[in-house]
Amino acid sequence: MGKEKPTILSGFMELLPAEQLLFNRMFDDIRSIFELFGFSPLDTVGIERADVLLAKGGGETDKQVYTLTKGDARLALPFDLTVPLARYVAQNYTHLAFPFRRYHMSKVHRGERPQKGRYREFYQCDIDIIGDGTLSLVNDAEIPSIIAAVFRKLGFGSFTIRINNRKILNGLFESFGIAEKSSDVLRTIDKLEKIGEDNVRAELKTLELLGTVIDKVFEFIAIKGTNDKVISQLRAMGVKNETFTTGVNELEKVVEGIAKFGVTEDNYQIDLTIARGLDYYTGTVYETVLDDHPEIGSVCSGGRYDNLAECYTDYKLPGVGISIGLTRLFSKLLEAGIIKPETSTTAKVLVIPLDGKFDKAMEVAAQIREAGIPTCVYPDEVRPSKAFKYAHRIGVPFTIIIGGREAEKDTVSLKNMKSKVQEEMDVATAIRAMSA
Amino acid sequence: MKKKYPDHEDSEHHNLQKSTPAATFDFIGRDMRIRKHVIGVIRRLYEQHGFSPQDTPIIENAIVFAGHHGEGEEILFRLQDKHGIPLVLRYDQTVPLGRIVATHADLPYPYRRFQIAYAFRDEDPDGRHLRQFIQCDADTVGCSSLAADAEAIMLAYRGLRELGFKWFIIRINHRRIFQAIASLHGLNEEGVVKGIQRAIDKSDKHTREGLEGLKKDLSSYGLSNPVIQTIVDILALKGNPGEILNGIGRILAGQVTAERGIAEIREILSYLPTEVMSVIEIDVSLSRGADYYTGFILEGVINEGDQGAVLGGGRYDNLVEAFGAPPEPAVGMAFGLDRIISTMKSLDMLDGLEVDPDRTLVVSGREDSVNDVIMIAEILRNQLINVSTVFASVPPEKQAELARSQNCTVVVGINQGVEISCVDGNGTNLIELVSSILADKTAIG
Repeated sequence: MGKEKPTILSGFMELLPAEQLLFNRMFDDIRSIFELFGFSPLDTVGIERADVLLAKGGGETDKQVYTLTKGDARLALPFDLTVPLARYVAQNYTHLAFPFRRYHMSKVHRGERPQKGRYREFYQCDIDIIGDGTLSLVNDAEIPSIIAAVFRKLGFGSFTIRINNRKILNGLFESFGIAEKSSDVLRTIDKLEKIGEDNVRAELKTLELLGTVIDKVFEFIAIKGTNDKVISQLRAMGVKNETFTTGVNELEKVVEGIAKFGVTEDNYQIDLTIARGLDYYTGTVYETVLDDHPEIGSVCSGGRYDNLAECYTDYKLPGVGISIGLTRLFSKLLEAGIIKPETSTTAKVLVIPLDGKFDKAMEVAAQIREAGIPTCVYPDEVRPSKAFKYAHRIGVPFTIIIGGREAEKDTVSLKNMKSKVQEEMDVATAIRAMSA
Repeated sequence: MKKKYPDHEDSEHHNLQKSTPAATFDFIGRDMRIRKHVIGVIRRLYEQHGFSPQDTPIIENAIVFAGHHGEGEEILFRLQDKHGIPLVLRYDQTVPLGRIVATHADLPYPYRRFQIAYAFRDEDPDGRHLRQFIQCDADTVGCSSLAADAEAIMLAYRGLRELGFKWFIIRINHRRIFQAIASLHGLNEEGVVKGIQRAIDKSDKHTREGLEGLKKDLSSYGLSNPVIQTIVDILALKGNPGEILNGIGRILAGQVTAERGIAEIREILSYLPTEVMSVIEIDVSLSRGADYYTGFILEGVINEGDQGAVLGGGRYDNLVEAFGAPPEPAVGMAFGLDRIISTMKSLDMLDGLEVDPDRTLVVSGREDSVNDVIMIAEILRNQLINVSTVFASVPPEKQAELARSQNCTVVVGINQGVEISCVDGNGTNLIELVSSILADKTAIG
């Protein structure tokens, strides 16, 4: 057996209990909102056929996929939850009722070069609504109400959902005659916040855009104001392009709809600079920022796509969805001190057996659990001071000592770890004291 | 050109009928909620006993899993990173726990954690073994007291009870008894003991031919006749756990390791309440696959155990040391989620099972009744009723299908805010609720 101490791989997050408890609470909160909005839980296989995962092809993704070299060599680990969703919907098309609303919260893997803030294994929390042939824009308008419910529940202060429509950008570029460069231009614009206007201008020049076009691009992304104002300014630009007009109309309809879903205007805003890097969004796109912590970047993003499963089926399946990268979000929140671990146990009381009174301790623990109080028995014979130290370490609020005297008198010695008050009493009284 | 109604056989696309790897499954809707329900029961049990949650990576350095699972290593899923470092998929939750304890010097001891997560094994997909399955582990590290072993049995008992199983057996054995059997016949090398363990693990212990069948099977794994005879003699013992332990003591008389093993089992059993004792069976044919067990081992089976073990575990005092850290005694147990659910299914326990959420209401409406759909959905959600919304008119014949697929009790269709249709008898109250909401709105509007 190897005697060297193996460690976890870099780019993988492993939490100890105090942090894991926090993480699980966020996970459960997000899930409860997804359930509240009637999404059906889906868990697809953790190992997929490599040819299925890579059916779409695309240099970068292919390189990041972990493939299994032993056993069935044609298997690979999912790198997102969208491709498995496409595979699932195509495979089960005839059994599903559309619009198909599912949520999926699971780990995915990408073998990219690990750098700070980038994970090779991370949780994604996705919801998607998939239509059969068509999907009403009302669904695009509903999505922000779900994002808002999630972040209200998580309680990290105020947040803003930024909304745009890819058709506006694409149409604008078509009208400039630079349609074939649109994804490069979009990717560059996407970096505006990160690298600043001068650098974006310089990069756009390297894409051989005319100076006048670059000016127009900046004139466009300078459009700001209330949502109504932005829409009217877009119309006032007089762009003669069908895609552009459709995009503006869609955006207007979605923005109107969002209000109907009870999201207040301070929680959402048109932002013409967001494009989302992925090429596959074709309409509405979303990003979400925490107002007090813009440095974290988008905490929930997504958008509308025309055809989810074109690699697997001829059925046209438009959809709209969002994703929360929970591992990254969690680590950023922790780093920024927005969340803090408190206790490393869910137990409310530690029962400490002395004088070998294990069986009595286990009996009392069973009684306390019966009352619904999570109870931990210190499973070893130790000095009380050591057990108390342990109780402090794991952050349990009460301890109970059961030694020879207590066992004989059928009592327990309950100690409140905060006030340090210790009293002998019967079990029923102790249960009441801990429930108070 | 995309066809509206494609014929898959003519399609250029993948044949998706076989698009998931053998012996792996997707789960959706109620199936998924059943899994969440069972996980919830087990998670609450562990939390009630003061175990804290832990998660570990799905991908580990291959070296982490080297040398802990004997032949099991042949079914590790292997992969590599960009630098050619050999990696494996998590084979179980116990070995990573050993790694955690060995690499974190500052854990509070005893370290009590639970982990409910997928494990991956490249099993021959013979229908009995899945290649991806969820294990629900609870372990106590840094504690040599046998009270912790007794707690593992308590967890097994309470878990099966709370899951609703009526008839089950918890089998118990001790690894030292294998050593004693070997040593009784003058065989002391570790390899031989492992061989006996493995033969017992692999052999069909409960054949129709009874002990004769087992004899044949054991000899096919290369055990000598005297060793087999000892095993068979022990297995032929009848009586309650105390009587069987006495019998084993007689057969393995003079073997110190046997005496220690038997004494440990007696102490563990002494901590158990009568109700738990009633399901305990001492079973020397119980072996458990993992190499790392050093002491008491346990396994739980439902009814006659046709479905195989639904839980297993034991004491493993050398695992942490194997990672180059100071030794830490450890003991734990794990429920196999997929085995539990397939057993529940075979016992018809799933049909009436109440899962959370017990209902999802689907509110649907044409685009001209969007406002009503939104209002009704919001009011219902405020009452913590899960509501799915469909912004399209769903024809009556499709509503039943939608209700089934969403596992909901009712589908409400709204047209211009007045007509309501319902497709499931159980939804009567909700229909009244929705009607009253609409009536209020009409009254105000």
